[in-house]
Amino acid sequence: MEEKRLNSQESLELIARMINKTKRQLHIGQGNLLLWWGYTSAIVGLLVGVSLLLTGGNKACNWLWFLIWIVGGIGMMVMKRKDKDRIEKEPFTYVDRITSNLWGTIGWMFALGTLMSIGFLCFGKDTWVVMLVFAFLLAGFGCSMQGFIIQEKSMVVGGAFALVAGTFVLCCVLAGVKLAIWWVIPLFILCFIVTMIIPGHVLNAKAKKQC
Amino acid sequence: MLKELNPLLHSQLRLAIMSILMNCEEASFVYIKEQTQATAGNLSVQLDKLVAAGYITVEKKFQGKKPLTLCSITDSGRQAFEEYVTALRDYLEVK
Repeated sequence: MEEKRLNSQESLELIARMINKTKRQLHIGQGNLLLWWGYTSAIVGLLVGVSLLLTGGNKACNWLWFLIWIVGGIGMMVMKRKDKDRIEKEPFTYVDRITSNLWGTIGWMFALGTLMSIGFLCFGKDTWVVMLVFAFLLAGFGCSMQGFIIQEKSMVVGGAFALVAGTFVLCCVLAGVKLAIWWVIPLFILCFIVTMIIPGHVLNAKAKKQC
Repeated sequence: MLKELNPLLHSQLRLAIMSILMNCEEASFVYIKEQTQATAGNLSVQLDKLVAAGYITVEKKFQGKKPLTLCSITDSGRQAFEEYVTALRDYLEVK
């Protein structure tokens, strides 16, 4: 491209062409982060459920939930490091900024919620269920919002499912209904399948088709 | 009477740079170079002109050991671009 003066028509065409070029494109592996968190949460959920069943409901098994933070966090850092080159090859859009702030806020809220729950646990109060409800609601809210932002229906629907499930579990807790392992753990796993695993695969498939 | 087109934006490469930056929050020098297919030297000169006019900001940093130049549009750049497009539309409607 040279230092050429344009007429009005050419100018408008150039603007349209450039805007079209910078339109947000999906990239290969777009859904990998969702898949990582989704599979980690579902597998850890399964591990906790099996441990609780095998130990006759030993509450200490609930500490295994922290594997989600450890495994998920390490995987996320590795993926972000691998993704660094993308900053140079792709523009950082407003959608990227909103998405990053959204998940940043959700991450902090979940971290604070977890710390508060641990504080209560230290004083002998059983707050594991609070963390469970938090997981349902925050993951559901985050996925739904991101789904609206990037216009991905599977994320909106999956997130909405987790929000409804989280609200249901919360109502059960408030109404004094006993949360049994046989339905809470499968519900937790199902939520992460529909909020993260399915949308992650959908995004990857769409990216593969587009690229 | 028709408004005069902003001479700073009424050039092919500078307009292309502004159009790219209008559509994203920040873009790297490498990305802009690829999209506009300009030479690095020419692109640098045009970026400097836009920086001098206060239309864009250029941030130079390092990503690991590699230098990374990020460009983003300023509020006055955004306003100038919008005025430019409005003026263009007026021109085309008259013609």
